[in-house]
Amino acid sequence: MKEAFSTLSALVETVLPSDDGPGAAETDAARFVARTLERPEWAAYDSATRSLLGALDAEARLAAGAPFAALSPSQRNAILKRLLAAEAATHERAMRLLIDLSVQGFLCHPRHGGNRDRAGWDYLGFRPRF
Amino acid sequence: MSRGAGSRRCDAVIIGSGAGGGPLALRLAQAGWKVLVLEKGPRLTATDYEHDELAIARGLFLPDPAADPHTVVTRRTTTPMRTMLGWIASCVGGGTEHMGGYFYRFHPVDFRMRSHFGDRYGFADWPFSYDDLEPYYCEAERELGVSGRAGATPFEGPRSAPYPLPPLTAHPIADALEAACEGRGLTAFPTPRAVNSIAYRGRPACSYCPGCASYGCPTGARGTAQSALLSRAEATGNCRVEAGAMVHRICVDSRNRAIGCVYWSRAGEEIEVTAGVTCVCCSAIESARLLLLSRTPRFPDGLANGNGLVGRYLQFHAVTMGEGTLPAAAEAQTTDEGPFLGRSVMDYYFLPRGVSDLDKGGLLRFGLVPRTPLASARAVLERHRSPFWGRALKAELRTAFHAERKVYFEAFHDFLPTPRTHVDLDPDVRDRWGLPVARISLDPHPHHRSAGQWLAQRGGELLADLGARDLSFPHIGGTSSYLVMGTCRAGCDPATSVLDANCRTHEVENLFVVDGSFMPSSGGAPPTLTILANSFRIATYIAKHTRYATIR
Repeated sequence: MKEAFSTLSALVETVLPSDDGPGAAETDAARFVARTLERPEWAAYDSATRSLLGALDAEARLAAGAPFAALSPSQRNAILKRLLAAEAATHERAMRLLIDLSVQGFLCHPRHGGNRDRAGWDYLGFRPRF
Repeated sequence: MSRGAGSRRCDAVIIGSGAGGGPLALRLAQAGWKVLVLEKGPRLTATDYEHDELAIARGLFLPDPAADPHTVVTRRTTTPMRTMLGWIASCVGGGTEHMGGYFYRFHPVDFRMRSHFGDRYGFADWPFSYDDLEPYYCEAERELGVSGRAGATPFEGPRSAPYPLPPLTAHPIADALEAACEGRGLTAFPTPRAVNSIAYRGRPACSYCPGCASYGCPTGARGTAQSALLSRAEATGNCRVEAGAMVHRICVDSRNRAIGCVYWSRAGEEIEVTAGVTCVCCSAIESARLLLLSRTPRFPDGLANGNGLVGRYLQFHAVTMGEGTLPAAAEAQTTDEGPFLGRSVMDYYFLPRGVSDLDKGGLLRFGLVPRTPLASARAVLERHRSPFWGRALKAELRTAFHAERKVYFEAFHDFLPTPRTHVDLDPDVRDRWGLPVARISLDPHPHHRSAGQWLAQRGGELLADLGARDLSFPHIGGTSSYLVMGTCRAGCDPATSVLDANCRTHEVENLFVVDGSFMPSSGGAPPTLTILANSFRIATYIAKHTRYATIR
């Protein structure tokens, strides 16, 4: 997943942008997602997530002549929408998984490596007693 | 097998450290016995118990499903499937470490189902009555610390002492539920819980965390086997709790007496324990498995299994649940202060004639779905049919977390013993130690569903009275995956039971099975308090009537 990390990171930041308060970038959500995907229970999703990230990059190079990670937030959004509309059957399952894991990385207990400084909980307005 | 470093001696070895093993360890250690508690799982502590939804979702309390599964056979399966059915916990303290701690007593009729309802469904009366157990219910409530109000429901059995602690503070919606119940001629009463409403015996009052049941308690306000029993047993200097200890055989001598067990330590060393009394407390499925694994020439089908009944009469609980969304407008209903609704209704413990095959229902417990970040987020993601992301997702996560409050009820009602619901050893699947795993045959009785449907209607009416919308019923007479009873039925006749009235096996002297295994019937409420109370009863019996000095 290392070579695809920049693409993964860009995708996770697209899922949880930072324009209305802390998002993926402020909470280390992408690193959380990458590490979680290495756990044995997600091994079955490995090729599907790689294929989604590869397709995003290919689409970006075709449309804008640059890798997905180099594009602006609105360009990334447009490419992601287009890809899912065109190839839902191929990519929807992996996209759902990455959204689930992104949200976990945003809102999990910080001990798992996401939700850095509890910024996700602050965004939500959750104040745990512990 | 070598002695010396690879052996231990004690007066009592207790295999399993949960609701069954905890009271035995405390009472025997207090009586001056040298006690060794062997627990397969790890010892978790307060630092493992920070508010951590992901750790729970990843199975903090459970064994690794790949290395330590059960298998299950139903009418719909042809080959046994791997399953986590029947596991409640694998850690010091067992299921009490993450329990909700809803500490209801069983009703007196639960002890004599055959006398009350007739010779049906393999019913048997317990070899002791509610009145026999009543003093030990009080003892368990006192030792664990139960918050509640005695006499608040007219339907419970007689009590000889009040609860040691007043009820927990309830969310304001409890008042609305009480009013709704009154309108229907029902009684809502404070749910008794093994959670401190005020500081008690060196443990603090509850901090009212939003996530409680299924989490470990980070403060010690919950009365668990570890916080209330094992810690005190260890403090006597007479009790040692060893975590990561996998017992794989119980040993008997030529005179048919249990003389201890053999286990693999966490380091993988095989250790032989010589003990005066051997107590199996691994919860119903694993306790039966250990007896079945302990074959000898004299007991070719497993220890204490001469009549073939070890593993029979397995029961879970039938479970019925309903939930709905409360109106967002009511400010009092969306506050986080006092996250427990904390009310139960016992009026439907018995069903009107004609509802089902058996006129037996269960206790309805009402609660607020805990408002925790990941659970709230999951609900948001699940209601979108196609992938949903970006600023809209974030905004909805935040709105949902504040605006939505779900209220639910659950009932754990009777699970009838059936000939095709039992445990044996799986001939093909082995665990990480190379031992055959427990194979569960599951064939629930249709009564669960018909009783569940009726209970769902009653619970649903009350949810509607509270103004809840979008009612749904995730379980109607389903099978609880983690509350297990039966498998070593207690009774007076050695031909029809495995244990005697004191939970000693009929066939093997000095061998006790002390957990939910003894229960001939599952009751209409969660069994944890009853398991604890019975364990206090057995501890008193063992300390009084069993001689251990002979083996020292």
